[in-house]
Amino acid sequence: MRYQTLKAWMDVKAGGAKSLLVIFALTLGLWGLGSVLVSYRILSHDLRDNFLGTSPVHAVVTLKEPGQLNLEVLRARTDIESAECRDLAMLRVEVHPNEWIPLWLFGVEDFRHVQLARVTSQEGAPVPTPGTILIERNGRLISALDTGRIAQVRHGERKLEVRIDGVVFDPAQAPSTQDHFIYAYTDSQTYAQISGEAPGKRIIVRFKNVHSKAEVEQAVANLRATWGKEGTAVASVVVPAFLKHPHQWQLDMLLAIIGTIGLVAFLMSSVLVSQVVAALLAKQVRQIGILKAIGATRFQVIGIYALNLLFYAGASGLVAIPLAVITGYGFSSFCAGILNFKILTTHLPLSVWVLLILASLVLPFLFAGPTLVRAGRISVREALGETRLALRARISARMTMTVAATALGVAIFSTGFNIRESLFQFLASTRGSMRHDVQVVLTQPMNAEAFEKAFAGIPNIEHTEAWNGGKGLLQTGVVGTDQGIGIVSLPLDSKMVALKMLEGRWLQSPLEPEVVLNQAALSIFNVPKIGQRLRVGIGGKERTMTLVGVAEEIDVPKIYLADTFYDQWANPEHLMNSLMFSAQDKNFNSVMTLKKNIERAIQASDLKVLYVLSQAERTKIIADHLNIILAVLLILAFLVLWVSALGMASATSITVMERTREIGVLRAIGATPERIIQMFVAEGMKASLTGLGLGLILSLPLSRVASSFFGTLMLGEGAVLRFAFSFSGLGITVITSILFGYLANRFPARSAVRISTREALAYE
Amino acid sequence: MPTSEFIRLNEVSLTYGADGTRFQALKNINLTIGAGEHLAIVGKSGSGKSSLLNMITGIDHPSRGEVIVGGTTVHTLKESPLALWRGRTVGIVFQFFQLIPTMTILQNVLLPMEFVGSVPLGDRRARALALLEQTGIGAHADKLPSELSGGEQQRAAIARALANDPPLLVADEPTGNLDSRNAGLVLELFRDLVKAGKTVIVVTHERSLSDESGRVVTLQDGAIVGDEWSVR
Repeated sequence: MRYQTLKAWMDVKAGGAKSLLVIFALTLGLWGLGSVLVSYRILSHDLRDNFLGTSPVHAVVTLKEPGQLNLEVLRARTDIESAECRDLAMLRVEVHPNEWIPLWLFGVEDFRHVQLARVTSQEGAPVPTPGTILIERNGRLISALDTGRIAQVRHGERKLEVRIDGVVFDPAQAPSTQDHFIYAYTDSQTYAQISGEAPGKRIIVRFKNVHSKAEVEQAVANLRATWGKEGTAVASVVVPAFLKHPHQWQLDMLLAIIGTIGLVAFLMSSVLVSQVVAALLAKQVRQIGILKAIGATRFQVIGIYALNLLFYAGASGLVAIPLAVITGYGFSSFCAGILNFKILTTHLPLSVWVLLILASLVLPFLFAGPTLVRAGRISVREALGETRLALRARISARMTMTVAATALGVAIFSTGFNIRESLFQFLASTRGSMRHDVQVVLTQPMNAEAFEKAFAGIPNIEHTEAWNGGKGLLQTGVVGTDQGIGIVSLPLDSKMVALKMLEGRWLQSPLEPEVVLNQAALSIFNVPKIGQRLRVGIGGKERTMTLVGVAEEIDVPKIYLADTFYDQWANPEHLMNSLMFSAQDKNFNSVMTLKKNIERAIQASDLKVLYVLSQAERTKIIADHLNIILAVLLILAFLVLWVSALGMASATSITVMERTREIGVLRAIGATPERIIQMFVAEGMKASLTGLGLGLILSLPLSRVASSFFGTLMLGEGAVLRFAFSFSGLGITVITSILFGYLANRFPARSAVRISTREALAYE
Repeated sequence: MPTSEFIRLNEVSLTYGADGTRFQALKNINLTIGAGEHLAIVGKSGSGKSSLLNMITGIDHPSRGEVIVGGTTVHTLKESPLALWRGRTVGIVFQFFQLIPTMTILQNVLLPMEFVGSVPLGDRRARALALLEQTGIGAHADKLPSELSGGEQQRAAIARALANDPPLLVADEPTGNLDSRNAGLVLELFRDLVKAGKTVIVVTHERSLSDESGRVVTLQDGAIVGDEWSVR
């Protein structure tokens, strides 16, 4: 084996630039795959571990009256792991001058003995001094709030100045940057002072031995039965998704995207590696013939080139593995920053390292194995008598592979833009689905006339409309009834809603209770058919209504119901909790002025406002949720195109290398260096343009499939993300592909004219 | 003069291509070569010389007929046994030397010994150096092929061909790329090998080389048209 190993090693050394190209191609593939592996390992564990590290709650119980429950008795129950009082008030806070957003203030029973929904001190006081609050760290990114500053807080007519005593980290909350909420924490007494509400109303619970939401719901039912006998009045119980972070879907989406595109990049780099190795072996064909002529068996020949590949694999692994770890951590940190969690994986487990090393050693053989076996099979006569015809056939086969790889790269790049366009059109449709420009949502329902009166005289109001809904929480991320679905009660003749119907029709009948679901609600009702009778608990009783339509809406699960029926069942006093304003002048600045005027009116009133939101801002919040996904999608799609350009560059450089003698002949008969470069560029551009054309055609069905896939993943069961063609994407794809194609052909072609005519003619 | 039959080709034909483009490279060749013979195969370009050599070395298989070398039916051997048989039985010398460019001359000679394994491990280096001395390039053992002249490279190729001490040496236009002095040295080597009992078959269209041989087989359009013996 000594001299076979020596030959393999000497071939690597003698390969020079070609050896570097193989190592580069392998490094690229391994780097991509390794980064996906590392980031997948970190992300799939760390968001969950961050979340589970807070000891998340299984259920949230809101009592009708505070202090009705003896917590010691509750904690002593055999089915309860822990229970605490964690009150929640929805206030408003000024994040910048005249800019108010919702503030969720949690009243913590005992900061020193928190066992559930734990927060970690980041800076300042770990326990707020009485009269102060702690804020969640992510809120600092969307506000001027910070340790030591005074926060302006409003709760209805109550206006307070509250000092911020420190910053905490609460990975169980949806990030402030995305949901535009500020989370704050204080002790029970300060909570009562700020909110004006008595503490002891909201209880958070963890059960023993539960493993699913269904088991939690059963445990809650048992609790309620006991409380029913004891006379404890419960206003609501919310059972969140079982031990699942509120933004787990975003991470799942990112993992799906990096997994999918990582796989494609991996496949493309495999094409690149197999091409480069094939070219390297093509250079060795004659030597394979000689080796066989002097007694080497097929397996000995394969062994030599397998060793050769092993050297390349080792070298690329040495470069790619550290790079993969760095970029895997980098990408994970990026996602952690966006989703507000900490990277807890300080050391990758041994299994990941083993997998990376195995990948570096095995993948080259997967990529180039068939080429290697083919090379081993070549007969002595074929090897020693290789003809120009064989060379032509090889160049032609290589170009076919290059065109295919380019087409795939272009298709994925273009698909990235088309999905982006689909999402933008979806957002535009969402924006158009609600015709109001500004919405004021109250924490508690009130009389509609008094509600509207507070805003009388404000200019630029075309029309107002009052709505109501379950628990007074309308179109927020926390809508929930006992059944965990938000209810929107609105007039049948509402002028403020124009949701696009995916199926069926909008509410019509004043006589029969009808309901429209948004797509997120579909799965809650097990994807019902139009005309099916649905049962929903409203006003303490089960109500039956007919499903007449499914509306397209990117939001939490919601049902739309005519206010006549809702009022009859749960709102006999005809109170309202949401007021919609449509503006006469819908220009963005005019709408923002309207919003400011509405804010001023609120300041002058005693309205208990949860939030004021313009449609433009609402769309921005949705866009913020999707932007990271779009950004990652486009970055990875660009990477795929880049890899395909590298494939093109390597194919051209190999062709140039193989046709060196022909170049010598051309120069001997008078071709100028520029003419030779042009010849190769023209040939390469033919392949690039063919790949571009095929890729654009391929992108159409791919975009349809991908839109449907991502639509379901992002928007939920039954959601339809319609195919949209991005013309700007087409332009960028065409320009980028042509530029990449030109450069990928021009640079290798330049090397063709670097050697002298004599050297070119003597080239073997 | 040959002592016994070593190579026998019975009714060997070789056809390339499919219908329409069919080309018959060898036509019903019947040839017997004795052990220790020095045979020259001559003929014009395209006459089938190299094809005939490929039949004997097992590099190519006949479309019809049989090839028996040293009692082995060569054309029925599978690829790996054929490679081993070739490594033990045949030493091949090419017109363009075909040394492994990344390995030294000594390593080039050691490589076939490693493939075949017939020379004990401890004896290989000494044998390789002896062969290089025998071919007159012992001083260049540690040089790369590119550092040697054409004649020296061809002598290195002969040393490599003899690495496993094969009974048969075949050479395809071995002096085609050499000047007259180096060609003379190669001829002298072949003469010595025949004296040592090796069977040497040379494909050539150089008069000097065929004159050296004890027997000259002439090919034309894939058929043997002449088989002359000379007594030296």
